[in-house]
Amino acid sequence: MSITKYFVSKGINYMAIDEFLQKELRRAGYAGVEIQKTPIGTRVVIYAERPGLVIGRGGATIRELARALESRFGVENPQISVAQVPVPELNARIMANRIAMALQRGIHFRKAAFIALRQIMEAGARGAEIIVKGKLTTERARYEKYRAGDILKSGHPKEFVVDSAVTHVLLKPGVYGIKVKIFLPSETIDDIKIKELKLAEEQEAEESGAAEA
Amino acid sequence: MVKIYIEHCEPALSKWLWLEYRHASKLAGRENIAFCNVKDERERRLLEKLGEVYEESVTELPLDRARTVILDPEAVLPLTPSDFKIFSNMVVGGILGDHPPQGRTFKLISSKMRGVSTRNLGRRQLSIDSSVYMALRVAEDIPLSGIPMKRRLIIKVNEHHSIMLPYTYPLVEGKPLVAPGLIKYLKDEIVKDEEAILRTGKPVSIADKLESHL
Repeated sequence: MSITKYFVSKGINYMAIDEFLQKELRRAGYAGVEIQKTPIGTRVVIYAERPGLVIGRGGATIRELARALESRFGVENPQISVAQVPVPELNARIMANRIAMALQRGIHFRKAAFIALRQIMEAGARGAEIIVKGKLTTERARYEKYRAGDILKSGHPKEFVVDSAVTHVLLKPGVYGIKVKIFLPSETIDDIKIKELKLAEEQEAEESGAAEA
Repeated sequence: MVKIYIEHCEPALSKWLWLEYRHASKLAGRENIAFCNVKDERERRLLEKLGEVYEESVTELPLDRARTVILDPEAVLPLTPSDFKIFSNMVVGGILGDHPPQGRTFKLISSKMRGVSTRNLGRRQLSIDSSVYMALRVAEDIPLSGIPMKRRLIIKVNEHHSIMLPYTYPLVEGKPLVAPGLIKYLKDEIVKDEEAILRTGKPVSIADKLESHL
Protein backbone atom coordinates (compact mmCIF):
# COMPACT_ATOMS: atom_id res chain seq x y z
CA MET A 1 0.00 0.00 0.00
CA SER A 2 1.35 3.43 -0.96
CA ILE A 3 1.81 6.08 1.74
CA THR A 4 -1.04 8.19 0.31
CA LYS A 5 -3.44 5.25 0.30
CA TYR A 6 -2.37 4.28 3.82
CA PHE A 7 -3.16 7.72 5.25
CA VAL A 8 -6.41 8.01 3.28
CA SER A 9 -7.56 4.63 4.61
CA LYS A 10 -6.57 5.71 8.15
CA GLY A 11 -8.61 8.90 7.72
CA ILE A 12 -11.63 6.98 6.42
CA ASN A 13 -11.38 4.56 9.35
CA TYR A 14 -11.21 7.49 11.79
CA MET A 15 -14.33 9.03 10.22
CA ALA A 16 -16.16 5.68 10.44
CA ILE A 17 -15.24 5.35 14.15
CA ASP A 18 -16.35 8.93 14.79
CA GLU A 19 -19.67 8.31 13.04
CA PHE A 20 -20.19 5.06 14.95
CA LEU A 21 -19.50 6.71 18.32
CA GLN A 22 -21.71 9.66 17.42
CA LYS A 23 -24.58 7.26 16.76
CA GLU A 24 -23.98 5.11 19.84
CA LEU A 25 -23.23 7.88 22.32
CA ARG A 26 -25.67 10.61 21.30
CA ARG A 27 -27.43 10.45 24.68
CA ALA A 28 -24.10 10.76 26.49
CA GLY A 29 -23.37 14.06 24.71
CA TYR A 30 -20.58 12.72 22.50
CA ALA A 31 -18.17 15.50 21.55
CA GLY A 32 -15.32 13.80 19.70
CA VAL A 33 -12.61 11.16 19.80
CA GLU A 34 -8.82 11.16 19.78
CA ILE A 35 -6.97 8.05 18.64
CA GLN A 36 -3.24 7.55 19.31
CA LYS A 37 -1.14 4.53 18.49
CA THR A 38 1.11 3.45 21.37
CA PRO A 39 3.66 0.58 21.61
CA ILE A 40 1.22 -1.55 23.61
CA GLY A 41 -1.98 -0.79 21.73
CA THR A 42 -4.24 2.13 20.80
CA ARG A 43 -5.17 4.92 23.17
CA VAL A 44 -8.72 6.11 22.51
CA VAL A 45 -9.94 9.23 24.32
CA ILE A 46 -13.68 9.84 24.07
CA TYR A 47 -14.87 13.35 24.93
CA ALA A 48 -18.40 13.50 26.26
CA GLU A 49 -20.76 15.68 28.25
CA ARG A 50 -21.81 12.79 30.54
CA PRO A 51 -18.88 10.36 30.94
CA GLY A 52 -20.96 8.13 33.22
CA LEU A 53 -23.17 7.11 30.30
CA VAL A 54 -20.12 6.29 28.15
CA ILE A 55 -18.64 4.08 30.88
CA GLY A 56 -21.92 2.35 31.74
CA ARG A 57 -22.77 0.24 34.80
CA GLY A 58 -19.57 -1.44 35.98
CA GLY A 59 -17.86 -0.36 32.74
CA ALA A 60 -20.23 -2.48 30.59
CA THR A 61 -20.70 0.11 27.84
CA ILE A 62 -17.01 0.91 27.57
CA ARG A 63 -16.13 -2.81 27.28
CA GLU A 64 -18.73 -3.21 24.55
CA LEU A 65 -17.28 -0.18 22.72
CA ALA A 66 -13.78 -1.61 22.98
CA ARG A 67 -14.99 -4.90 21.48
CA ALA A 68 -16.77 -3.05 18.66
CA LEU A 69 -13.70 -0.90 17.89
CA GLU A 70 -11.50 -4.00 17.75
CA SER A 71 -13.78 -6.22 15.69
CA ARG A 72 -15.50 -3.70 13.39
CA PHE A 73 -12.77 -1.12 12.83
CA GLY A 74 -9.59 -3.13 13.41
CA VAL A 75 -8.33 -0.97 16.29
CA GLU A 76 -5.53 -2.94 17.99
CA ASN A 77 -5.93 -3.43 21.75
CA PRO A 78 -8.03 -0.28 22.37
CA GLN A 79 -7.46 1.42 25.76
CA ILE A 80 -10.49 3.65 26.11
CA SER A 81 -10.55 6.59 28.49
CA VAL A 82 -13.33 9.12 28.83
CA ALA A 83 -12.85 12.85 29.34
CA GLN A 84 -15.55 15.30 30.30
CA VAL A 85 -16.03 18.40 28.17
CA PRO A 86 -15.55 21.39 30.53
CA VAL A 87 -18.18 23.70 28.98
CA PRO A 88 -20.59 21.60 26.91
CA GLU A 89 -22.43 24.73 25.68
CA LEU A 90 -19.28 25.76 23.80
CA ASN A 91 -19.05 22.47 21.94
CA ALA A 92 -20.86 22.57 18.58
CA ARG A 93 -21.33 18.83 18.40
CA ILE A 94 -22.95 18.59 21.82
CA MET A 95 -25.28 21.47 21.03
CA ALA A 96 -26.24 19.99 17.64
CA ASN A 97 -27.03 16.70 19.37
CA ARG A 98 -29.06 18.48 22.05
CA ILE A 99 -31.19 20.08 19.32
CA ALA A 100 -31.54 16.72 17.54
CA MET A 101 -32.71 15.05 20.74
CA ALA A 102 -35.17 17.88 21.42
CA LEU A 103 -36.65 17.36 17.95
CA GLN A 104 -36.96 13.63 18.61
CA ARG A 105 -38.90 14.43 21.79
CA GLY A 106 -41.38 16.46 19.69
CA ILE A 107 -40.20 19.95 20.62
CA HIS A 108 -40.61 22.48 17.82
CA PHE A 109 -37.28 23.15 16.12
CA ARG A 110 -37.65 26.93 16.47
CA LYS A 111 -37.98 26.60 20.24
CA ALA A 112 -35.11 24.09 20.45
CA ALA A 113 -32.80 26.27 18.33
CA PHE A 114 -33.51 29.45 20.31
CA ILE A 115 -32.90 27.65 23.62
CA ALA A 116 -29.58 26.30 22.30
CA LEU A 117 -28.60 29.73 20.97
CA ARG A 118 -29.28 31.32 24.37
CA GLN A 119 -27.31 28.61 26.20
CA ILE A 120 -24.32 29.09 23.87
CA MET A 121 -24.29 32.87 24.30
CA GLU A 122 -24.73 32.61 28.09
CA ALA A 123 -21.70 30.30 28.21
CA GLY A 124 -19.61 33.18 26.90
CA ALA A 125 -19.40 32.54 23.15
CA ARG A 126 -18.62 35.53 20.93
CA GLY A 127 -21.24 34.38 18.47
CA ALA A 128 -23.24 31.41 17.25
CA GLU A 129 -25.19 30.28 14.24
CA ILE A 130 -27.66 27.41 14.04
CA ILE A 131 -29.17 26.20 10.76
CA VAL A 132 -32.01 23.71 10.70
CA LYS A 133 -32.84 22.28 7.26
CA GLY A 134 -35.35 19.86 5.89
CA LYS A 135 -39.09 19.34 5.61
CA LEU A 136 -39.63 21.13 8.87
CA THR A 137 -42.91 19.41 9.75
CA THR A 138 -44.72 20.86 6.71
CA GLU A 139 -44.64 19.20 3.30
CA ARG A 140 -42.33 21.86 1.89
CA ALA A 141 -38.61 22.01 2.56
CA ARG A 142 -37.11 25.16 4.04
CA TYR A 143 -34.06 26.28 6.00
CA GLU A 144 -34.17 28.34 9.15
CA LYS A 145 -31.13 30.19 10.44
CA TYR A 146 -30.70 31.49 13.99
CA ARG A 147 -27.83 33.80 14.77
CA ALA A 148 -26.45 35.82 17.66
CA GLY A 149 -23.25 37.83 18.04
CA ASP A 150 -20.50 37.61 15.41
CA ILE A 151 -19.41 34.57 13.47
CA LEU A 152 -16.31 34.16 11.30
CA LYS A 153 -17.12 32.70 7.91
CA SER A 154 -13.72 32.64 6.24
CA GLY A 155 -10.04 33.21 6.77
CA HIS A 156 -7.34 31.43 8.70
CA PRO A 157 -8.48 32.40 12.27
CA LYS A 158 -11.80 30.62 11.57
CA GLU A 159 -9.93 27.29 11.73
CA PHE A 160 -9.05 27.87 15.39
CA VAL A 161 -11.85 29.91 16.88
CA VAL A 162 -14.97 28.57 15.21
CA ASP A 163 -16.22 25.16 16.27
CA SER A 164 -18.75 23.70 13.85
CA ALA A 165 -20.71 20.47 13.68
CA VAL A 166 -23.42 18.89 11.56
CA THR A 167 -25.85 16.23 12.66
CA HIS A 168 -28.85 14.57 11.07
CA VAL A 169 -32.00 13.28 12.64
CA LEU A 170 -34.66 11.16 10.99
CA LEU A 171 -38.20 12.14 11.93
CA LYS A 172 -41.60 11.34 10.41
CA PRO A 173 -41.63 14.15 7.79
CA GLY A 174 -38.08 13.31 6.66
CA VAL A 175 -34.43 13.92 7.52
CA TYR A 176 -33.55 17.12 9.35
CA GLY A 177 -30.08 18.57 9.08
CA ILE A 178 -28.74 20.61 12.01
CA LYS A 179 -25.61 22.71 11.64
CA VAL A 180 -24.11 24.54 14.62
CA LYS A 181 -21.24 27.04 14.50
CA ILE A 182 -19.82 28.59 17.66
CA PHE A 183 -17.37 31.49 17.75
CA LEU A 184 -15.40 30.49 20.85
CA PRO A 185 -14.54 33.10 23.50
CA SER A 186 -10.93 33.49 22.42
CA GLU A 187 -9.11 36.32 20.73
CA THR A 188 -8.07 36.10 17.11
CA ILE A 189 -4.71 37.39 15.91
CA ASP A 190 -6.40 40.10 13.88
CA ASP A 191 -8.47 41.42 16.79
CA ILE A 192 -8.10 45.19 17.00
CA LYS A 193 -8.71 47.12 20.19
CA ILE A 194 -9.59 50.79 19.87
CA LYS A 195 -8.15 52.88 22.68
CA GLU A 196 -10.55 55.08 24.54
CA LEU A 197 -10.22 58.77 23.71
CA LYS A 198 -9.67 59.73 27.33
CA LEU A 199 -6.88 57.22 27.68
CA ALA A 200 -5.21 58.47 24.51
CA GLU A 201 -5.31 62.08 25.74
CA GLU A 202 -3.83 61.09 29.08
CA GLN A 203 -1.10 59.16 27.28
CA GLU A 204 -0.33 62.20 25.11
CA ALA A 205 -0.11 64.41 28.20
CA GLU A 206 2.16 61.89 29.87
CA GLU A 207 4.37 61.68 26.79
CA SER A 208 4.61 65.47 26.47
CA GLY A 209 5.34 65.71 30.23
CA ALA A 210 8.13 63.19 29.85
CA ALA A 211 9.55 65.06 26.85
CA GLU A 212 9.56 68.41 28.75
CA ALA A 213 11.35 66.81 31.70
CA MET B 1 -57.16 31.48 -22.78
CA VAL B 2 -55.70 28.22 -21.55
CA LYS B 3 -57.49 26.39 -18.73
CA ILE B 4 -55.20 25.55 -15.83
CA TYR B 5 -55.81 22.31 -13.91
CA ILE B 6 -54.03 22.13 -10.56
CA GLU B 7 -53.72 18.55 -9.33
CA HIS B 8 -53.97 18.63 -5.53
CA CYS B 9 -51.31 16.10 -4.46
CA GLU B 10 -50.76 16.94 -0.79
CA PRO B 11 -52.47 14.99 2.02
CA ALA B 12 -54.21 18.12 3.34
CA LEU B 13 -54.94 21.66 2.23
CA SER B 14 -52.48 23.47 4.49
CA LYS B 15 -52.56 27.24 4.82
CA TRP B 16 -49.33 27.48 2.82
CA LEU B 17 -50.96 25.54 -0.03
CA TRP B 18 -54.17 27.57 0.28
CA LEU B 19 -52.23 30.85 -0.05
CA GLU B 20 -50.49 29.58 -3.19
CA TYR B 21 -53.77 28.31 -4.71
CA ARG B 22 -55.47 31.61 -3.92
CA HIS B 23 -52.65 33.53 -5.57
CA ALA B 24 -52.72 31.25 -8.63
CA SER B 25 -56.48 31.80 -8.92
CA LYS B 26 -55.99 35.55 -8.69
CA LEU B 27 -53.30 35.47 -11.40
CA ALA B 28 -55.19 33.26 -13.87
CA GLY B 29 -58.75 34.30 -13.01
CA ARG B 30 -61.36 32.15 -11.24
CA GLU B 31 -62.93 31.01 -14.53
CA ASN B 32 -59.62 29.74 -15.93
CA ILE B 33 -58.54 27.53 -13.05
CA ALA B 34 -59.66 24.15 -11.75
CA PHE B 35 -58.53 22.09 -8.75
CA CYS B 36 -58.56 18.31 -9.15
CA ASN B 37 -58.10 15.35 -6.81
CA VAL B 38 -59.65 17.16 -3.83
CA LYS B 39 -61.02 14.27 -1.76
CA ASP B 40 -62.11 16.18 1.34
CA GLU B 41 -65.58 17.68 0.95
CA ARG B 42 -64.82 20.64 3.26
CA GLU B 43 -61.71 21.45 1.23
CA ARG B 44 -63.76 21.23 -1.98
CA ARG B 45 -66.24 23.75 -0.59
CA LEU B 46 -63.38 26.11 0.28
CA LEU B 47 -61.68 25.77 -3.10
CA GLU B 48 -64.95 26.48 -4.96
CA LYS B 49 -64.31 30.12 -4.04
CA LEU B 50 -61.11 30.01 -6.14
CA GLY B 51 -62.22 28.02 -9.20
CA GLU B 52 -63.79 24.79 -10.43
CA VAL B 53 -63.22 21.82 -8.15
CA TYR B 54 -63.16 18.11 -9.01
CA GLU B 55 -63.01 15.18 -6.65
CA GLU B 56 -61.42 13.09 -9.41
CA SER B 57 -57.79 13.30 -10.39
CA VAL B 58 -56.94 15.21 -13.56
CA THR B 59 -55.71 11.87 -14.92
CA GLU B 60 -59.34 10.64 -14.83
CA LEU B 61 -60.98 13.71 -16.37
CA PRO B 62 -62.17 13.41 -19.98
CA LEU B 63 -59.76 16.03 -21.32
CA ASP B 64 -58.72 16.18 -24.98
CA ARG B 65 -55.25 14.65 -24.56
CA ALA B 66 -53.93 16.12 -27.78
CA ARG B 67 -54.71 19.62 -26.48
CA THR B 68 -53.38 19.03 -22.95
CA VAL B 69 -49.89 19.77 -21.64
CA ILE B 70 -48.37 18.90 -18.26
CA LEU B 71 -45.87 21.30 -16.70
CA ASP B 72 -43.26 18.88 -15.43
CA PRO B 73 -39.68 19.86 -14.42
CA GLU B 74 -38.54 16.51 -15.89
CA ALA B 75 -39.95 17.31 -19.37
CA VAL B 76 -37.38 17.55 -22.15
CA LEU B 77 -38.83 20.58 -23.96
CA PRO B 78 -39.35 24.01 -22.41
CA LEU B 79 -42.70 25.78 -22.63
CA THR B 80 -42.76 28.22 -25.55
CA PRO B 81 -45.30 30.85 -26.69
CA SER B 82 -46.15 28.70 -29.75
CA ASP B 83 -47.37 25.90 -27.42
CA PHE B 84 -50.39 28.02 -26.58
CA LYS B 85 -51.60 27.67 -30.21
CA ILE B 86 -51.77 23.88 -29.71
CA PHE B 87 -52.76 23.38 -26.09
CA SER B 88 -55.90 24.57 -24.36
CA ASN B 89 -55.50 22.63 -21.08
CA MET B 90 -52.48 22.93 -18.82
CA VAL B 91 -51.83 20.69 -15.82
CA VAL B 92 -49.82 22.01 -12.87
CA GLY B 93 -48.82 19.81 -9.92
CA GLY B 94 -50.25 21.11 -6.65
CA ILE B 95 -47.18 19.95 -4.82
CA LEU B 96 -45.21 21.63 -2.09
CA GLY B 97 -41.61 21.07 -3.01
CA ASP B 98 -39.02 18.82 -1.53
CA HIS B 99 -35.38 19.80 -1.55
CA PRO B 100 -33.71 18.21 -3.45
CA PRO B 101 -36.71 17.63 -5.77
CA GLN B 102 -38.15 14.10 -5.86
CA GLY B 103 -39.77 14.34 -9.31
CA ARG B 104 -43.25 13.92 -7.83
CA THR B 105 -44.98 15.65 -10.80
CA PHE B 106 -43.76 12.81 -13.00
CA LYS B 107 -44.58 10.08 -10.47
CA LEU B 108 -48.05 11.38 -9.60
CA ILE B 109 -49.23 12.94 -12.88
CA SER B 110 -47.11 12.52 -16.03
CA SER B 111 -46.59 8.78 -15.58
CA LYS B 112 -50.38 8.31 -15.32
CA MET B 113 -51.19 10.42 -18.40
CA ARG B 114 -49.20 8.62 -21.07
CA GLY B 115 -49.43 10.25 -24.48
CA VAL B 116 -49.95 13.73 -23.04
CA SER B 117 -47.26 16.29 -23.93
CA THR B 118 -45.03 17.64 -21.19
CA ARG B 119 -43.12 20.92 -20.99
CA ASN B 120 -40.77 22.37 -18.40
CA LEU B 121 -40.43 25.86 -16.95
CA GLY B 122 -36.71 25.40 -16.43
CA ARG B 123 -34.82 22.96 -14.28
CA ARG B 124 -35.34 24.77 -11.01
CA GLN B 125 -38.18 24.12 -8.65
CA LEU B 126 -41.00 26.68 -8.59
CA SER B 127 -43.93 27.21 -6.26
CA ILE B 128 -47.43 26.51 -7.63
CA ASP B 129 -48.40 30.17 -8.08
CA SER B 130 -44.99 30.94 -9.63
CA SER B 131 -45.55 28.13 -12.17
CA VAL B 132 -48.94 29.63 -13.09
CA TYR B 133 -47.42 33.12 -13.38
CA MET B 134 -44.59 31.84 -15.61
CA ALA B 135 -47.04 29.97 -17.88
CA LEU B 136 -49.23 33.06 -18.20
CA ARG B 137 -46.21 35.21 -19.11
CA VAL B 138 -45.16 32.69 -21.77
CA ALA B 139 -48.74 32.80 -23.11
CA GLU B 140 -48.24 36.58 -23.50
CA ASP B 141 -45.45 35.77 -26.00
CA ILE B 142 -42.56 36.21 -23.57
CA PRO B 143 -40.00 33.37 -23.76
CA LEU B 144 -38.93 31.69 -20.50
CA SER B 145 -35.45 33.19 -20.85
CA GLY B 146 -37.04 36.66 -20.85
CA ILE B 147 -38.56 36.24 -17.38
CA PRO B 148 -36.13 37.34 -14.63
CA MET B 149 -35.80 34.84 -11.81
CA LYS B 150 -34.36 34.75 -8.32
CA ARG B 151 -32.96 31.63 -6.73
CA ARG B 152 -33.67 31.21 -3.03
CA LEU B 153 -35.81 33.54 -1.02
CA ILE B 154 -34.50 34.74 2.33
CA ILE B 155 -37.07 36.12 4.75
CA LYS B 156 -35.58 38.02 7.67
CA VAL B 157 -37.82 37.57 10.70
CA ASN B 158 -35.64 39.58 13.10
CA GLU B 159 -31.93 40.19 13.71
CA HIS B 160 -31.49 36.65 15.08
CA HIS B 161 -33.73 34.64 12.80
CA SER B 162 -34.14 34.19 9.06
CA ILE B 163 -36.02 31.70 6.90
CA MET B 164 -34.71 30.47 3.55
CA LEU B 165 -36.87 28.90 0.87
CA PRO B 166 -34.71 26.90 -1.56
CA TYR B 167 -36.91 27.53 -4.61
CA THR B 168 -36.89 29.86 -7.60
CA TYR B 169 -39.16 32.87 -7.78
CA PRO B 170 -39.96 35.07 -10.81
CA LEU B 171 -39.13 38.74 -10.33
CA VAL B 172 -41.84 41.33 -10.87
CA GLU B 173 -40.51 44.90 -10.92
CA GLY B 174 -37.32 43.58 -9.31
CA LYS B 175 -39.11 41.86 -6.41
CA PRO B 176 -39.72 38.11 -6.06
CA LEU B 177 -43.33 37.14 -6.64
CA VAL B 178 -44.61 35.53 -3.45
CA ALA B 179 -48.20 34.63 -2.58
CA PRO B 180 -49.74 37.48 -0.54
CA GLY B 181 -49.82 36.58 3.14
CA LEU B 182 -47.19 33.85 2.83
CA ILE B 183 -44.35 35.82 4.41
CA LYS B 184 -46.50 36.78 7.40
CA TYR B 185 -47.64 33.17 7.70
CA LEU B 186 -44.06 31.86 7.67
CA LYS B 187 -42.93 34.44 10.20
CA ASP B 188 -45.70 34.18 12.76
CA GLU B 189 -48.36 31.55 12.21
CA ILE B 190 -46.63 28.45 10.90
CA VAL B 191 -45.29 27.48 14.34
CA LYS B 192 -48.84 26.93 15.66
CA ASP B 193 -49.67 24.65 12.71
CA GLU B 194 -46.42 22.76 13.05
CA GLU B 195 -46.93 22.26 16.78
CA ALA B 196 -50.37 20.83 16.01
CA ILE B 197 -48.73 18.41 13.53
CA LEU B 198 -46.18 17.39 16.17
CA ARG B 199 -48.99 16.85 18.72
CA THR B 200 -51.37 14.89 16.52
CA GLY B 201 -49.01 13.41 13.93
CA LYS B 202 -51.49 14.41 11.20
CA PRO B 203 -51.21 17.18 8.61
CA VAL B 204 -53.33 20.22 9.47
CA SER B 205 -55.96 21.25 6.92
CA ILE B 206 -57.19 24.82 6.70
CA ALA B 207 -60.70 23.31 6.74
CA ASP B 208 -60.07 21.98 10.31
CA LYS B 209 -59.01 25.44 11.43
CA LEU B 210 -62.08 27.11 9.95
CA GLU B 211 -64.36 24.50 11.51
CA SER B 212 -62.86 25.09 14.96
CA HIS B 213 -63.55 28.84 14.52
CA LEU B 214 -67.25 28.22 13.82
